[in-house]
Amino acid sequence: MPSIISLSDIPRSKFDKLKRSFKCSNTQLQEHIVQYAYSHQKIGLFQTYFYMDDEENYLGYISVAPATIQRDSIEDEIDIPNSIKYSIPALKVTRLCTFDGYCRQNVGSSLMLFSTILGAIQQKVIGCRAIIVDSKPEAVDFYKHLDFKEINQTEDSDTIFMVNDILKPKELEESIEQMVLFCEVFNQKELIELLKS
Amino acid sequence: MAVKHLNQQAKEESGIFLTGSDAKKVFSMFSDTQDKKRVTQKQEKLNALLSKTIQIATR
Repeated sequence: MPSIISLSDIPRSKFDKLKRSFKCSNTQLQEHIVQYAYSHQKIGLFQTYFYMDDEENYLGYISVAPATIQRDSIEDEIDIPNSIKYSIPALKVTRLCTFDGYCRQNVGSSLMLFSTILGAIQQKVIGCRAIIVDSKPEAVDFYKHLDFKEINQTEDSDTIFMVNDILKPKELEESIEQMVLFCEVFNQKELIELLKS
Repeated sequence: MAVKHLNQQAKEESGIFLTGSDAKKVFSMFSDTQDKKRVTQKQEKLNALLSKTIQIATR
């Protein structure tokens, strides 16, 4: 069965050999995994996880970081509910990549669902209410399929800001059983206790 | 309305700052008075996606 592996569980010497096989036609995603992801992880900045198949081929990766959604002060014409006075803690998918030759094998969707599980754990431990992405225009439909809502184009780039509300803890309980099963299948057993807590 | 990155030097890892109707659209999503039907739909969607992915991974 496939696995999801944290980059932090891969020794540097092994990673240096592995990274020669990482091929991604998107040069920014290729550059990130080959040059920056390991050092980011090493100094405690952002986390990266790989999707590995049962023959130990690395098919893609996802990088995540905690982030917040902030807003301007409430204006009269904006009817923001009073209950939401704070910034929204979120988990940001900073990079998602399926390596060349492995598209249409459910790699991206699996990694995105894994990010929802990380979001659920973050919610339990320190607070999290949404998974957010800056989507490339061509990936908007992919994220919509995963229940993300398209908000708007960011002012300073060509990306589209998208949000997936992971719901309140009580509402999320409906999915904990499936999340635990997912973690068993993808060999992320250390997360199971956190999900059940 | 606007969606801006909080950190222009590292947009990919940056948080988001919203104004105007974009702020309303997003922050309304987290209201206490959410439509129960929408919550149920989201729960069903997530469970279906998880189930499908588990099926694909184990076949």
